[in-house]
Amino acid sequence: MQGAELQVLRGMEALLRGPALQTAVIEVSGTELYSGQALQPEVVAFMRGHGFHCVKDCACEFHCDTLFSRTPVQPPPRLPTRCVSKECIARQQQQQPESTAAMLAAVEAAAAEAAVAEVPPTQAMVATPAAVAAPARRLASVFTAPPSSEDVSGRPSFPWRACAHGACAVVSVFTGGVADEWRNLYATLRRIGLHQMAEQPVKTVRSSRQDGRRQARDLSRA
Amino acid sequence: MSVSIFQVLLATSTLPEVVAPPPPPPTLLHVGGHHAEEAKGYTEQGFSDRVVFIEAIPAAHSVCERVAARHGQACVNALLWDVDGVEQTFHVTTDSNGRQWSSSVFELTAANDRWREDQRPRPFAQMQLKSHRFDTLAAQYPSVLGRAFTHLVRWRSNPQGRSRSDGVAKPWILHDRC
Repeated sequence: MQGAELQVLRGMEALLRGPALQTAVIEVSGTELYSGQALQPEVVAFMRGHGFHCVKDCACEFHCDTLFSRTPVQPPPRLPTRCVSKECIARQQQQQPESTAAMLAAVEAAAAEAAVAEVPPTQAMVATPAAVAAPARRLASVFTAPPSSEDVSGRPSFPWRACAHGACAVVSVFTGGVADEWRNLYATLRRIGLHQMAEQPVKTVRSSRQDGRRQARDLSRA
Repeated sequence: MSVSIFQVLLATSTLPEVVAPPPPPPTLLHVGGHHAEEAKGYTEQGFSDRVVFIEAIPAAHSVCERVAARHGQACVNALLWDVDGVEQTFHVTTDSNGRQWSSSVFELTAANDRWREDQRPRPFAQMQLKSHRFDTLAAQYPSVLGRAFTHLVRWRSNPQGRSRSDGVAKPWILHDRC
């Protein structure tokens, strides 16, 4: 069966597409040891097409046993900085934070950087209750003024805050996936001392389940 | 009335909880079973009798079947391919000790010389075998091959593989589920 890994895998499409199979160890070669055999990149590409991530021995020069998993065992860490340029992305890939502390430190640095950076006008709104908002003096030093309704073409600095009817909105910019959005939210709240609200939202929800149901009823009535 | 994101989170907490079904028991398919050297290791790692070997060479399959049966496991004689019913010339190879490992439908290339002398497979014999798709076999023999396999192993059938000769399955393969 040596060298015929790709043919064998093609013959078990139903098994590979089924939900049960989670892990596969497949012997592959980076060098053609058997005439006509598929090399590792082809096998990896085939497995990727069936939802398997290569998680061990993924760059094989001669011969190795490659581990595939339905879910990536060690997903690459993502940095909080909103990168667009290739230089920035390359810099992020080099940094690779190893711990949550490093990530949060990077968040804070990114927040300081974002205050002076020009950002695209993509926006999302996060509302914070006025009762827990930071002192007005501190807010004034953190947030910029919201842009006027006529100034739709400009590039306002983020974040900015707007209050109405007893509630304040902290407006920030989310340009990435869910993880990026969480980091941006964290960075925004960190600057006004409310970051702990974003650190353990799940715990807050679970501990306040009864209150949550009550509030949900109130909301539905409203 | 304003609604905060935290109120939204609280509201979503009232959704009914969905209980996930229990994961299927770890079940392993090993393609290229040879003499089922890993049978004992798989048993010790928690697969118990939920292991099926597939071996193409009939002579090796008879040993594979006997060894696997000691652990309540199964060994099926079949040459797996992506097409059913094709006559393939199977190139049987041996190592320096005369053991038949590393056999293939394909012929060895010159790069085979890069193996160490004692690990290098050598051409030994040829035989004609009919190919089968695994999916077809699974439909024909659902009680054995139609199981919900959670692990697939397809590695070298000779001691060139780092763990093959001692019959111990590689721990990093199995620990995520067993």
